[in-house]
Amino acid sequence: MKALVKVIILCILYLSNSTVSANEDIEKLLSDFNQKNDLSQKTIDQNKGHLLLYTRDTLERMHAKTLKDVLKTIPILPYTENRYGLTDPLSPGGITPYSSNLIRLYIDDVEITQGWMGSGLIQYGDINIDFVDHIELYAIPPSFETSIEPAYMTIFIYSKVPERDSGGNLSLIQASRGSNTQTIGYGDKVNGESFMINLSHTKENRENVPNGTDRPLSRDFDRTQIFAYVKNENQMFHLQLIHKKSDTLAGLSYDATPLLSKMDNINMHLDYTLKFSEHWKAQFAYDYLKTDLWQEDNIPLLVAGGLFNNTLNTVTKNSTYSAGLTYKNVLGKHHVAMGTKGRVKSLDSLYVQKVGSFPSVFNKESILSVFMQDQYELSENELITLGLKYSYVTRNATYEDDNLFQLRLGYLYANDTWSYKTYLFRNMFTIDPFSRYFSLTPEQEIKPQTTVGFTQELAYHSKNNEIRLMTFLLKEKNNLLDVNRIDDTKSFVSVLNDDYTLDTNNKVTVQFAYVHYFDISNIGDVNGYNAYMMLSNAYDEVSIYNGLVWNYDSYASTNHFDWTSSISWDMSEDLTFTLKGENLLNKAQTYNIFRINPLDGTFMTPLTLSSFDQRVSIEMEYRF
Amino acid sequence: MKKLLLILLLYYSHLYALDTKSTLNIYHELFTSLLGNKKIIVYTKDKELRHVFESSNKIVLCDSIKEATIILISSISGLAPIDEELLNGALHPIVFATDYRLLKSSNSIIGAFYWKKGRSQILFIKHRLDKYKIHLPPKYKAFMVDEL
Repeated sequence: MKALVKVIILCILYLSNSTVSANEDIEKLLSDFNQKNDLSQKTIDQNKGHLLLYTRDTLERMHAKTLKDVLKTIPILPYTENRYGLTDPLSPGGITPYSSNLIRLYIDDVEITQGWMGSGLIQYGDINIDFVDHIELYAIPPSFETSIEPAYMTIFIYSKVPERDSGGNLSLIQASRGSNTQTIGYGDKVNGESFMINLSHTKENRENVPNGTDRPLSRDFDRTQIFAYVKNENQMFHLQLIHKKSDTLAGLSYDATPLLSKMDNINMHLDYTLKFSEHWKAQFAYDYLKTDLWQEDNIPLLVAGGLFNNTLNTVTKNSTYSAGLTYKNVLGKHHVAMGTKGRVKSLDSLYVQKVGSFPSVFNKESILSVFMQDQYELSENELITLGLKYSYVTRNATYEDDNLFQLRLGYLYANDTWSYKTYLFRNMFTIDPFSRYFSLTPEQEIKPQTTVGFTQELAYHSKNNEIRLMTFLLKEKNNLLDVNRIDDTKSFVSVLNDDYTLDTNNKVTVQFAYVHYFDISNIGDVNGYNAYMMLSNAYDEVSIYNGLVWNYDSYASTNHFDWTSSISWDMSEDLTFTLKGENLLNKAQTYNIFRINPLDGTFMTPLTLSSFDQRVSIEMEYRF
Repeated sequence: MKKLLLILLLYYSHLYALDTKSTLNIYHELFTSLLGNKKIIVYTKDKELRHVFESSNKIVLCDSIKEATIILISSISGLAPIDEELLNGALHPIVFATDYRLLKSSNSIIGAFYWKKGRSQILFIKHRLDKYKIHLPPKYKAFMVDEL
C-alpha cells in the first residue's frame, strides 16, 4: 500500500509540473474567465451565512455522482445514515426515525420538504446529482428571505442551465456487487425559454451488515428519479419525482435482527416562482410523500406502546403546501427585504394493515411567518445586517401551538484581499410532526429548541489561493436531540479551509475542522476532528482525483480514513470513461446502531457500521 | 469598491449575466488572433454577448452579417440563414460559435469557445482554418484539432 501511495504522489507531482507551457497567457485568460463566470458567482449570497462552495468544476473534479459524495467531505455535520439506512447526519443511532430536521435542502432556491416527516434531506441525501451545476452549503441559520422553517445548515443545490449545458448527456455506471446507474438528460433554450429534463435509475447493492444471525442487515435500494424545469427571466416551474424502494437495515427491530425490513417511498415536488416586478417575488410549492413500510421480527417491534406486536405494514400519505411573498428594494444605503411565508403540513392518511385507518387525531401543522431584513452599507466595503422573524406554529388536536422569535445581527467587511463576517443570532426550532406524534410519550409537550450563537469568519483571497477560518460558538436550550436534558448544551466549532489553484488543470484543497462539545449526556466533553484533502490534476485527456477524509473523536478514540480516487479519460469531446474507487482503505467513518435486549430491556453491544461502502465503479459518459 | 458590495449583496441579479471584463479579454484575444490587423466587427444575436461587447472600444457590433468580420453564433436557429448565405458565396466573414454542438453540426464554423463540465474550452478545426487561410500563433496549438 505504501508503494502505491508513493507512485500516486510521484504521478501528481509530475502532472503538476508538466503543464506549464507556451499557452500560459491563454490559460490565464481562461482561468480568469472560468472564475469570474462560474454560475456560483451569480447565486452566492454571502449574507446567507458561512459558505462551503462546491462549484461545477469542483464537482466534476471530484467525480461526484451523488449528494452523498459531496456531503461526506463537509467539516460540519458530515454525511451519516440512521437505523433505517436513510440520510440522517444528526442521528444519535437510536430509534428516532429522523433527527436531521435542522438541516434543510433547497433546489434552485425552493425548499424540498417531507412536510409532516421533516426535512427533505432524508429522501434527497444521496440523490443522483447529474442535473446539478453547483452546491452551496451555509452554516448557521440562513437569511430569512430564503427560509420558511429555521435551520442549522442549509444546502442549496442549483441545477444546470442550458446556456452552459445545452444538448444531451447519457451516463452508464457499473459498480461493485452488481450496482448500476443509468442517467439521461437533455436541456436547451428556445425563444428565451430554458428547459431541462433529467432521468436516472439506480440499483444499489450495498454492503450487508453482519448482526450475528444468518440474515445480515441489508440497505440495498432501487431508485428512479426525474428532475425537470421550464423557466424564463420571470417565471420558473420545477417537477421532481423520486421512487425509492429500499431495505431499511435494522428498522424497528429491538435487537437489530429483523425478519423483514423494507420501505417504499414515492416523493413528488412541484413549485412555481413568479417575479412579477423588479421588487416582488411569489413562490408556491407542493410536496407529496407516500411511504409504505413493512417490518417484521420474531419479537414485538419498536413502536410506541407495542401496539403492533411482531409485524407492521403501514401506508402513510402526507402533503405539504408552501407559499411565500417577498419584497426587496434598495432605499438609499438600505437593502431591504421583507415578506411573509406559510406552510401547511398535512398527514393525509395512515393506514395500518389488519387495523385499518389509524385514528390520527394530530394530522395538521401550519406555520405562518413574517420577516424583515435590512442590510445597511456602513461604508463602501462594510455592511451591517439585521433580520427579525416571527413564526406562529399551530397544531390541531390537543397539541400546543408555538411562537418562534428569531433574530440575526451581522457585520460584513471585504476589501480586495481580506474579508470578515460575524453573526450573532437567536433561533428557535421545533421537532418534526412525525417525531412529535410517534414519540414514546405522545402527551409530553416537546418545547422548541432555542439556540444562541456567535460566529466569525476571516478570509484571505489572492488570485490562486483562498484561505478561510471560521469559528462558531453555540448554546442550546431544550435540545431536540436530547429532549430529557434540563440544562443547556454548548459546542464550539472551528474550520480552516484552503483552496489553492496551481493552474486550470491542477488544484489542491485542504480543510481542517475541530469541534468541542461541552458535556454531552453521560459522556462529558468530546472533541471531534475532521480533515479533507483533495488533489486534482489533469494532463491532456486524462484527469485524476484523489480525496481523503479523516475523522477522529475523543470518545471513540479511533482514526477513520476515507480515500476516494478516480481517473477519467476523455476519449473525445463527446465520450469519457471513468474508473473510480471509494473507501479504498475500508476505514471510513462509522456510526453505531443501538440494540436492546428484548428479554430484559438492557442495552446490548451496539452494531458498528459505516455509511460508506468500499466500492469500485466504471462509467461511460456520452454527450450529444 | 462598489463591486465588493455587489459580491456581498444578491439583488435578483440575472443568473447568467457574463462578467464583462474577463469575457471581453478572452474574446478580444481570440478575434485578434483570427483577424490579425483587420477591424473586429461582430455580428451576433446573443443578447448577453451584445451587452458585453457594447462596452468594448476594440470590438464593434453590427446589425448586418454583410458588414461583419466575425459572425458569432449561439444557437441552431441562428445558424441556418448564415450557412445558406455562406454556401451561396455571399459571405466571407469568419464564423465562430459559443456551443460545441454548433461547431460539430456546421462546416462553416472554424472554432468555438464554449462550456464543458463547468470549464470554458477553446477549440479550432485545422482544415477549416486553412480554408480561410488563417494561421493562428503557436500558443493555440493545444486548442486545435484536425477534425471532430
